[in-house]
Amino acid sequence: MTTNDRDALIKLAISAPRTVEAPADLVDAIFRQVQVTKQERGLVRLGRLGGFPRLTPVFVAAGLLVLAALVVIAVGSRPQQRAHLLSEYHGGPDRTGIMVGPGPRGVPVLAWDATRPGPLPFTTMPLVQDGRVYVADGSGTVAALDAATGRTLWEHSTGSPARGAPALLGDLLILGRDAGDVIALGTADGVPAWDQAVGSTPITASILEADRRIYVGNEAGTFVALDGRTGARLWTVDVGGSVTRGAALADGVVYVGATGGRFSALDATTGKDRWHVELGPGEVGTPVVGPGAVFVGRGLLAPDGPHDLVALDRADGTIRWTFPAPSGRQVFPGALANGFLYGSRTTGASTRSTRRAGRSVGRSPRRRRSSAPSVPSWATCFTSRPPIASSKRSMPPRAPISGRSTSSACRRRRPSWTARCSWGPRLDTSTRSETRPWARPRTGS
Amino acid sequence: MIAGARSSTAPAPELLLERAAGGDAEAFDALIRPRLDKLFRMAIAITRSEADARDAVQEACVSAWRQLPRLRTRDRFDSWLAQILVNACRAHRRRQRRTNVREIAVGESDEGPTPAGFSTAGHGEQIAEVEAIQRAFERLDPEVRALLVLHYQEEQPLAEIARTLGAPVGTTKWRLSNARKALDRALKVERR
Repeated sequence: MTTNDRDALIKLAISAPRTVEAPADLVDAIFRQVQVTKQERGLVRLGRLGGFPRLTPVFVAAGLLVLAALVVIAVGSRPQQRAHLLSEYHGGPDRTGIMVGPGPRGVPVLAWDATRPGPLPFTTMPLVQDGRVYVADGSGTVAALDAATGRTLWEHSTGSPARGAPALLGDLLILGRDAGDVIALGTADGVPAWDQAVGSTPITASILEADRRIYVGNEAGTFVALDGRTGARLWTVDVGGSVTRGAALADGVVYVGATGGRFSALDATTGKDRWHVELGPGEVGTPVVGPGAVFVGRGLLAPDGPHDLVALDRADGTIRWTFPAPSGRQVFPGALANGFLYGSRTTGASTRSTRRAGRSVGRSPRRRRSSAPSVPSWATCFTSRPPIASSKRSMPPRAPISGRSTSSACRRRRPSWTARCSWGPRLDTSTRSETRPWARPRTGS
Repeated sequence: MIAGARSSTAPAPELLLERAAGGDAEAFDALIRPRLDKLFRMAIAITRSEADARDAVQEACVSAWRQLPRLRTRDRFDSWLAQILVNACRAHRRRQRRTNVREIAVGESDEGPTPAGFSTAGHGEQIAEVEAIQRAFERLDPEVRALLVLHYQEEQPLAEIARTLGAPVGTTKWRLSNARKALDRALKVERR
């Protein structure tokens, strides 16, 4: 074999094929992160590309002085928190659970504790923007709290319970109510900006906001897209069952599940059904959209039938694999990062411990059942450079405490399980069997 | 050199660079978007994992955004970006070692993938050789992998590789020679 032949073989062996392309959502993820990242604007420009300036004695002395000054400042002042933006449920429209970091280091300490008049079910979560925390509770009261102190800045009673998570769109806080409508409040003072009726049945799903549009469904199975600035209805479809969980959106496709098992992919612009699959009895959880696949828990609150996590091909809804839960238990995908899907599943043990602690979890009293999930259906990956997360730093938060909003709900607790969720460019996904329990759960480890 | 697509109506790269360095995120997006596939392929070749490559590319792009105002020689943006990506791949690999993640193989056949460009008939030996090289390559340190990827996949000349790695040309030549030898040694281990 000649040297040229050998070089050609090495090139062939180590090179990524030219057909490999960056995931479609990667550029969006980068752009989102860039928007919340400050550029470094030092007084001294680097003389060499990516390297260090020439080390002259003057420069070294100046550097030491600057370093000493920085140490004094760092010791003498409290660490500054970066501006946080958490505008909707699970961190963004693709519901990957990635939050702008940094997250808590070590054992978090309770900074403040605010009591709310209504319950805070696990289907909702507080939102953060410009130093304010926005909370909507089961009594229908919406409040803006000071993120640093927990002090109530304004409070507005909507007159009807709000059980799904709201969403922030610029200076509007948008939420769905049991009264069957979607309302928008000004973030500055809580004054209503618009109100759009969807139907006469309650809206319990989280609001999905993307590209200045609002997507939400009600318990009659009506799913709508609204103009986020005016509330005007853009399109309406029937998704074949109650929409009790939030939808997700990525690359112009809305993914939404309905009670009874229908899971649909809709065109975000027109509402046209691109594909739908039947996932069996029970509710369908909030989807998590990853590169190539959408992950969703099925069989929620169903006494029989499959209780498992399903990975569906984003192109046509084909089931790529399933991750089963023990009979009668349920699985919830929480966060998708670093090639892993983090999640939780219900267990009898956590139900007991939760009740003993006197905490109310699950849905609001009207819908709570003894079999309601006793663990949060969401996990959080805090990263300083989202969405990159170490598997060891990822921690699911505790179940929210009823009627209370805490500034550090996350404790050092490991996920119920993690699973490798990518299949890499070297695998032929077309040959994967429908059911492939390929990763064992790592409960408690 | 990573070259971006440029239409007649799109702003010149120099203008985009200036705007991006001034804090314009849209300009940075326009700057990065045409380069993303190539960066991703380079990261995959170094990390050997799509998930790791995704993280490394994102980390590199965000890092580039942060440091862009301090980049003085803007005509070397592409090699500067490649350098940041190589560093991100190295750093990511180091973190992966520390987190001690155990990956569970799923559904890959024992034989592994068929290399692109080879038919299965009549090229058995070549396929076996390519697979052995792939396994040997995965034994190497990320630093060595990066060097080989820049040379074989990116086909960068020695001076360009030196710029990307921030080392003198002579040192880079010596390192490339050592990298080839390291690959040979790993290949011998694979053939045993």
